[in-house]
Amino acid sequence: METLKSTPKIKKTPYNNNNKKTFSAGKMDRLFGIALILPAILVVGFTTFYPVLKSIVMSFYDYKLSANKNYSLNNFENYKEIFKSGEFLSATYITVIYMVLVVIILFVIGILLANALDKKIPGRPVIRSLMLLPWVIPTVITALLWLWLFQPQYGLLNYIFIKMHIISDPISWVSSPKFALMSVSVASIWRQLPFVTIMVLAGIQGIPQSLYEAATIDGANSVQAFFSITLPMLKGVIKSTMLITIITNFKQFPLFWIMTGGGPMDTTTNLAILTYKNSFVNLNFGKGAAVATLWLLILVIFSTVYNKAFKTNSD
Amino acid sequence: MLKTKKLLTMFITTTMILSLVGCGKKVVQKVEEKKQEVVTLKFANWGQSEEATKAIFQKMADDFTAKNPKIKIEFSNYPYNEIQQQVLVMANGGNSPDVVQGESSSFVSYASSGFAEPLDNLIDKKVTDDIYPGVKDSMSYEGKLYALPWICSPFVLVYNKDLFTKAGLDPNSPPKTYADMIKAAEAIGKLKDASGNSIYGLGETTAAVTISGNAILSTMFSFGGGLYDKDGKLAINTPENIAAFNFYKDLETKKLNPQSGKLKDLRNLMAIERLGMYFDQTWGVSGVFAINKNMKTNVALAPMPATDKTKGLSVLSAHQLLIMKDSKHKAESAKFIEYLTSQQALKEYYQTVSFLPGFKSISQDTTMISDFIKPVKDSLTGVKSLEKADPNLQNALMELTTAAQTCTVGGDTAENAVKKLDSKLKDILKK
Repeated sequence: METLKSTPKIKKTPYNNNNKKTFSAGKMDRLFGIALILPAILVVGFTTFYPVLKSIVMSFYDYKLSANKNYSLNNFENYKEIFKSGEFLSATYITVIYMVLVVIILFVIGILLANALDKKIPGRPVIRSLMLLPWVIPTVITALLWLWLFQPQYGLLNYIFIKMHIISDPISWVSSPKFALMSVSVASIWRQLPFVTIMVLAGIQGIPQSLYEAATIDGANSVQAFFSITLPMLKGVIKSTMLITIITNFKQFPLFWIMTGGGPMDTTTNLAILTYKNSFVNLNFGKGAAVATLWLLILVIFSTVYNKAFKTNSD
Repeated sequence: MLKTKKLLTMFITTTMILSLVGCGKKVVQKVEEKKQEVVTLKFANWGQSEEATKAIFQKMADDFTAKNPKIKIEFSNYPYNEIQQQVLVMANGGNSPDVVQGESSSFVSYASSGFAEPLDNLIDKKVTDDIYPGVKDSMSYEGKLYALPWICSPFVLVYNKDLFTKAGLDPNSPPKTYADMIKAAEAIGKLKDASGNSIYGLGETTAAVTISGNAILSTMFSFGGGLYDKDGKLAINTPENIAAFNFYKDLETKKLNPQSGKLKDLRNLMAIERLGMYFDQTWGVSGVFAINKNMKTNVALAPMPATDKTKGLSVLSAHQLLIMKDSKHKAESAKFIEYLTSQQALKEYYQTVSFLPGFKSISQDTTMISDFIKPVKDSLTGVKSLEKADPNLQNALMELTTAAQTCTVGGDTAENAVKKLDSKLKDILKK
């Protein structure tokens, strides 16, 4: 205590007033940081958050485009109508079935393809380039392309199947309740497969070769190496790629709209189509916004649960 | 000396500025005067964005401006399937066009929204009295006329004369009843093309689009049904409507109709001679000729066939012209749409597409009745409009396509399809 008491006081000078100086510098840095991200926040806020908020507010209004600006608050009437008609549950079911089917097939084929492309096979660079082709084609073109392939009377698919005696009569792929969802799924998988394959391939190429060498020395075969090294090491890549593909397919619109328009008999009316039909076909923006709000809620909950469930060490 | 120079410079500069301001004012004044003289009408349309009608739209506008130098036309082009929502969005934002090209299925949305201006006081009574009564009804809402008919057509039967001959039918005697039509379709359905592909007997559009809903509503009318009874009460689950949907079921069971086809699919099939007959508007046949010019001599038109209940009825398909309520130039807009629906303009338009004029006097003009259109020239007398106009009509038309799909590709009975339709439309057509 004595020692402390006897410690001579250090006179504060502009040079040793470190605390004050550091605080000011920190504050300045923070202000500078905020100033840097402010334009981005403003742009994102104006183009994303504001429309989302506006849409949520709109979902509580009787907001019809043909109502000559007579918009009135109708509380939860839009939500009640959606649930009463059963269209929301049906659209959610179709969205989930389609999304699960497409994502599973995408990852099974994508991982197998990425593994094959990682091996030294003849013409690998050419195959890798060709692989990207469906990814660079715009979704609208993909939809039109597959629509022609699926065309019942003069489409290529029926022609081949009939010539091979697989079917005797042409199948109306996109107009049949049995095949419509499957047809859209095929087009969707074709479109997104390059993305998944390239992402997984990049992940595979980042795995140290020494791990495989050690596994080989320990007597592991290629299947064991795949399940014990490749897959665990790809966890991070698969997690983020899967989240992107889940969200992409959850909100898939152009393929559905162009290929089936949500039909036949609403068998391909997913949440995106339901929102569009309510807003732009029936001109009921309030109801369309209510579907979109529920849809947003589902995605937010899903993303949160997904991120917690697949938390990696780096997170 | 220096002071004098400075003063002189200041004087010259001030004079120049003042003269510039003066001249500027004069120029602005002149421009404004000119602006006041010339009125520019914004014409929202889809015709200018379509290759087939682009030139004739421009010509009609140019001809109008040549006759009325103080009125200029500015086209606002939108795709056919987007124009309604675009115009309504603009109207909601207080930025309405002056004149809009509308069509039958979107008419109620414009009229019931209050964005369209009633035409009764804007258009000469002689002109409005000349419109066919059925046509006028379908362009009126709550007793007021909201649109002028531009080009009109009911659904008509389009058939391939060659296939009729090949099937042992008389190509100059198209079926007059639904029963005869089914028989003819069965005979054509037995044919194969050169490559061995099957040929469809009869095409009826049932795709999930409003125009297909209109075609289905025409069938319901022909079978004596519809959406409302005579008193304007919703009447869906009726024997007449069940009979209409049984017709679709019959076509499906006999594999006579391409499944859930859009009108453009049917036109494609007709063009490649894989379809014997189908229902379309008169101008829709241009789509067939655009694909296969040789079909011009091979395709013929016939009126809607009769049933036990009616002589054959159809809803009106019409391109219409509306004036928006927010337009600041209503008188000029009225002048413009009167010109577009005049005999002279319609005659020019007729060179590009086949249609029926919605005006009694013009329809007597023999130069507008080609041999091709002759068999259906009186079809506008068989046009039926709904007993009641509901703002949600488009939504209801979409439900009609779902009902047709339910009893065709869905494999359900016509009774169940109508029952489900009844429950859906009770919700949709509440008004």
